[in-house]
Amino acid sequence: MTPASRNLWLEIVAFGLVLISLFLFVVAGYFTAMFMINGLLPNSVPLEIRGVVLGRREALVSALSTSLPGAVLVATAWALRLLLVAEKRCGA
Amino acid sequence: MSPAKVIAFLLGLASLALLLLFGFVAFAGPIMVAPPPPLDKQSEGCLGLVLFASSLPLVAIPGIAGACLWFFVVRKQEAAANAEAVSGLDREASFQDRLDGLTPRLLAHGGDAAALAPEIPLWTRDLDGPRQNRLLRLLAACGGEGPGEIAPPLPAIAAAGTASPAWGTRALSFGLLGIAAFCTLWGAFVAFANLTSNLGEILDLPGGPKTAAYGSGSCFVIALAAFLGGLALHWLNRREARRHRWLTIAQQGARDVILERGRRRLAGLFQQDDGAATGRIGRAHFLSTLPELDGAGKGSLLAWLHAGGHLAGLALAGADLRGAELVGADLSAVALDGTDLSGAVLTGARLVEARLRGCRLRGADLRGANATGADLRGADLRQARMHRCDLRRADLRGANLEEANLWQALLPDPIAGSGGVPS
Repeated sequence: MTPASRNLWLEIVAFGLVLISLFLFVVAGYFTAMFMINGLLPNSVPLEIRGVVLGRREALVSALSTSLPGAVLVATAWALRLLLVAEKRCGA
Repeated sequence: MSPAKVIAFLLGLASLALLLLFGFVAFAGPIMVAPPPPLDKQSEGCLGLVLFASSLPLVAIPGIAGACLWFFVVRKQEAAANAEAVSGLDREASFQDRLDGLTPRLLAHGGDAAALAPEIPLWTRDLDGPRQNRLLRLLAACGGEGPGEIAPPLPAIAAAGTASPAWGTRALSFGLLGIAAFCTLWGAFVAFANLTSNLGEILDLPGGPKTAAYGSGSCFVIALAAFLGGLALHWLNRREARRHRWLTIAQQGARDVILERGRRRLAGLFQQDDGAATGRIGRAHFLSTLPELDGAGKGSLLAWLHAGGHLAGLALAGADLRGAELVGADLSAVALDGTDLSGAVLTGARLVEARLRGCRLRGADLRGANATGADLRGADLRQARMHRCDLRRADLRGANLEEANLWQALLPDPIAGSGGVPS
């Protein structure tokens, strides 16, 4: 694999990581929004899964459980970009 | 970075990670998880100590292996490279002195190296392996009955640490620090999740402080190992980059000595003008010097010889001019038939009426070069970059232009009958 094709694959991987992180952020936002809208409805019924009532803390934890990996993926993509920049600087 | 260094580092990192992991399991495990019956009579501290002590041999094995590899292999390789860098300049200068002494002897025998055979042990005395080979290649190139063949140089034994840190080790260092950051955040998240919510019950996990401590603790252990490993590798990378710069400067110094002394010796030879012997010895010196130079050095020497009008007297077929840097050089009517100019940089060079028959110009950079009337019959121009190259009246019969980039190049006109086009 030549350096040029390797760098191209790294860029593709970094872009893929950003896309996956966007999906995770959307999931986090969706479930948070679902919880908030459910709370705003008149006569709202608390959400429950397997006997566990989903309160605010549970909603926060579930949002963090997807947004945190999403943030890590974005940071990884950024690190790949820095690596490519450093590689270009060394090659230049 | 040499493979030995990377393996030594990975063994050390494995040992550290196992130490932290077994330490955590040994001291936190008995508190979190009830030990089985034979061990449940022990106190938690004693049990932890026993578990940790029994796992130490397993943990120590990769660490000891990595330490042995580092001290007995890596440090020896680095010491050899450092010694060569420190003393290389002086040894090269004394080797050049020896070549200066050898040249008049060759001239006295009409360039016949076979006549000097009884003296070879004297000339090669106290020389290291690579320099002995260089001297013997020079004598072989002089030959006994006409221009001898230049034997290819032996592959250079690259001393450890002469290559700059590869992107792989840099990526690994970034990766380890990234894993450390992620595991730290995830450990904090696990603690927060277990202490503030009941989500664990959905997955049938018991909540509470113990689960939080055990879950987040295991994440922090991995984070600590990855952080220390990433920092250590980052430090190693910077050290390698510094060594590489220092070694490169030392090698460049040696190349400058080779170029300067070689030029001086050739100038002295051509002043003698002893006919065929001068040409034979000059060719041998030129061809045996080329492999020791970098692209800039090769280009400088070639341009100097052409400017002085000495190239015509040397038969250079097979000369190793790979990567020669000849940007903007005036090589009009140069005679380089059969030479290897693969990867040479000839951007903007003047190659009017140049003789490049049978040359290897694979991957060469000929952008903007003026090669009008050049003889490129049978040349290998595969993958050459020839944007805006002027090839009018050039003879390209039999040339291989596969994958060559001829964007906006001026090609010879086959209809007008000037030059020739590849079949």
